Amino acid sequence: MSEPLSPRTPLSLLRTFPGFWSLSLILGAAIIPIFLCLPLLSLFVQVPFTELAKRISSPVVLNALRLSLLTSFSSAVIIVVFGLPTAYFFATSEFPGKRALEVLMNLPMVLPPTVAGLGLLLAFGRSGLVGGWLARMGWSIPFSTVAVVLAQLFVATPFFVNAARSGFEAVDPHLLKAASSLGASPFYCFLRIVLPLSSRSLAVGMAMAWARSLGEFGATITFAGNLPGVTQTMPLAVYMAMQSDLQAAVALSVLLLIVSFGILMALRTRVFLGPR
Amino acid sequence: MLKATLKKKLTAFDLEVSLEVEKAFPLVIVGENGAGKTTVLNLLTGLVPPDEGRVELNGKIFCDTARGFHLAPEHREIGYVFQDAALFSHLTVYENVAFGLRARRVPDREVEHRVREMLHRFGIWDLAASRPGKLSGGQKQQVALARALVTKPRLLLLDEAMAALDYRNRREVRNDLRFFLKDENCITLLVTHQPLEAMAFGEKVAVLEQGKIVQLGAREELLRRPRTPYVAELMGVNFFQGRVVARASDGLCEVRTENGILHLLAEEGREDVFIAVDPREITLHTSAPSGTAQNVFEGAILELLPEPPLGERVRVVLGTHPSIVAEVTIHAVRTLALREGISVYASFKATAARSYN
Amino acid sequence: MATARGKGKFAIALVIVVAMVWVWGRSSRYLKPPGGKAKTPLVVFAAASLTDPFNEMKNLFERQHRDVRVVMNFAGSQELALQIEQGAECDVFAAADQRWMNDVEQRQLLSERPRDFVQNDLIVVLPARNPGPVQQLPDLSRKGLKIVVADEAVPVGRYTREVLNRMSRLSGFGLSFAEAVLKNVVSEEDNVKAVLGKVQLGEADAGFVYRSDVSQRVKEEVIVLEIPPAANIVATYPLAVLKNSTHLELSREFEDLVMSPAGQDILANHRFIPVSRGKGRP
Repeated sequence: MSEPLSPRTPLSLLRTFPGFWSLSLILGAAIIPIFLCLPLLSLFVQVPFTELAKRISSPVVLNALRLSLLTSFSSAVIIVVFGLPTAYFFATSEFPGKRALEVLMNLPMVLPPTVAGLGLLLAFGRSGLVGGWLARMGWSIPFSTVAVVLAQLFVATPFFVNAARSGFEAVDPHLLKAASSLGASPFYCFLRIVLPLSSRSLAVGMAMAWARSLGEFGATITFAGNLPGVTQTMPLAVYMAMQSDLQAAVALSVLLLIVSFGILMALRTRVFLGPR
Repeated sequence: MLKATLKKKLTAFDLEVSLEVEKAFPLVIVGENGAGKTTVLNLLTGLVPPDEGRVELNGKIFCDTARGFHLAPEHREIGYVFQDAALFSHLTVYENVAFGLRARRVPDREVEHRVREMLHRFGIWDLAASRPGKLSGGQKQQVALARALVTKPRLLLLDEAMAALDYRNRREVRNDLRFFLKDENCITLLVTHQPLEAMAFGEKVAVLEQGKIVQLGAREELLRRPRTPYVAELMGVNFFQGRVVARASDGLCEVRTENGILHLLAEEGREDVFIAVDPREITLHTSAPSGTAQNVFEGAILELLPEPPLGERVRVVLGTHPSIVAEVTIHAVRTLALREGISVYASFKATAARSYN
Repeated sequence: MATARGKGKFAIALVIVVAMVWVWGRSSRYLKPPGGKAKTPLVVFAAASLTDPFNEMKNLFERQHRDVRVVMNFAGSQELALQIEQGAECDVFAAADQRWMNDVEQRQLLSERPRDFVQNDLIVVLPARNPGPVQQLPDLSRKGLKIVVADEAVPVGRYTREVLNRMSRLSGFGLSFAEAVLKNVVSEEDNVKAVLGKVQLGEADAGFVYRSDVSQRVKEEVIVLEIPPAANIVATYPLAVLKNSTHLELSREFEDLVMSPAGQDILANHRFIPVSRGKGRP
């Protein structure tokens, strides 16, 4: 293991490697952050804070925010619970058709979200493949909060599974061999070796899946519909506000951004505090 | 006593190995990379099931395909040490060593006692709170050994365990290990691709080639009587294989080998023979040597390697068929003006060749 | 083995490249007819509900003006208004609702007073394959139904609520009718096609949509319930040429086509209600 290069400030980089490369690296690296931050900042500039305070206290917004947090966190938990075994199995096992299945499982990430919503309707809707059967048992999924969570699960799960999988694959097989020779059962190995060593990938995957769930719009509005308090999450509320009142829409977006920033930042810090 | 008979179909060849290891005589398996060494270890630990075979340690059966029995790896009480130490990077040295005890649900108090004792024995107690990333290669390997030995394994498998260490660390770890194993009831098996390592560690050496043990015996036996070109090369001995075709009354024989007729002394009743020639018995000449009963080869010098400690002797590798290694004095190199690329004659006397079967 | 795999990869890459080139070629041929010189583009923003008739209108106009290419942009009226206010290039704006046209007019973006060109009214649709407990309109207030409407911010959503209020005042419905129906609403969609889609799929028991939405294709999948004329509203669609239009003459001609008997026929064929026929430019 070689010593990692210590982090450098742009200034010290220029001083150690003066020349075209350093300069173009710094300039090139500046473009994307500026591009990404500009629209976000523009939203902040647009909205007066008195307006923001007024909007946030309205019941529609509070309902939407509560629903968004509730559903996105439920989704994250479900994704982790079911995603972990899936990711571990795919990281450690071989079977015919594995490649094709993996590609299939990644398709929800490419699928236009409204099509994903339609697919969910055709599967879990009242007259859908599984939904028809559920409906006969008196359980109707569309237009319910459960549908919101299902829509989020559908689009967000691949993010976690992919990240977790690459984390698991990065664990040195020698360590598992050593652990099992030391008397650790496969489950104990997973708990004490695999999970801690891939915690970074897991946290990153979880954050990505949560963020994707929070921002989910297309599949939700198609599959779960839009009803305040039941299925109207923040993105839907923002979109609906845009139909009548642009200012309100911006205020809601800013609120969503602030909450997301806080949570993602907390996750990051937590991750960076974790063991290397 | 470890008794193992194992068969496993691999992509390149079929592995077929039969071993017996006693506590008093650690066994070294030496072979080139890809000869199947690690597979043998995986079969012993149970991480890979054999196609056919039986493993038994001190009367306890690990695996018996005839009866469809397979003991899970975590129940075999085996210590396994890797070339790269394979320490758990997210745990401290203390927790690394404690891992096997905790996995076996040993009570906390006993864990502490045993880990502390083990760390003291290896002289690494002051590293207890460090993480593996901060350790030197030798320290890592010591931790790995402590981690394996603290569980009191009945079988210790060392997988190139010393290969990554520098020379001094290697000796230190080896000594630690020897000292330690004296008091423990533990059978030891080392695999390596380095002949020196094999010679240094094991009194008993098995040579693995293409999944088969081609020769097994005490190290002196291997040195004196290699039975395949590979073993001979490992031991640094010149090797021939042939059949006696003519025998004179004084015991001088003509032996037909793949590379022509050799003249040497062989006992009566031995027709198919292996022949070993010590590199020191080979003399080099710049012109064709005269005299009878001489075995002469001609070829270009491929390599000149000074021998430790002072370089007073030089190993000369010749591009003859087969390739011959001679060991001559630096004086001879100078007077004959030997250098890489020039063509020379190599000869040895009939009495210098040892024949056996 | 390695070379075989290499060949396979190469073949796949080749197929992808060929497919891309083919698509590119086809699409550019479609955009630029061979031999034709660059055509004048005329940009028309039209409400989503006008999609079918205005595509026919475009074809008719392009037949009449060989050197013009009509570029249609269909979306919700409010979204189109927003785009225009943000400076989108547009020659003609056809809205589904007076409110958003007024909005654009107040910002002084129009070259003229808007003209009403067609009318529409509401109907109730039920899923044909899965007819629920709804037989007639008063059933809509029954508890436990799943009713889908458009959001109040969308014109059709506003009309829906108005119609419900009017129905409450009719005999046979009851004063609490509107309230009871709105309690059954399980989703407030962002556009009228989404309302229709949920009914078509059988996920909703009933939905409120424009009469013009029930095309020939949709007709087989839904059952239509007429709303009593006394309770129905008439939505009037306004049309105007933008002040910033770079082709004022052409834009006016397009407008005239919509108002002409031929244009009104097209709209009528798509179940819109024509305004009084043959009204010329004032």
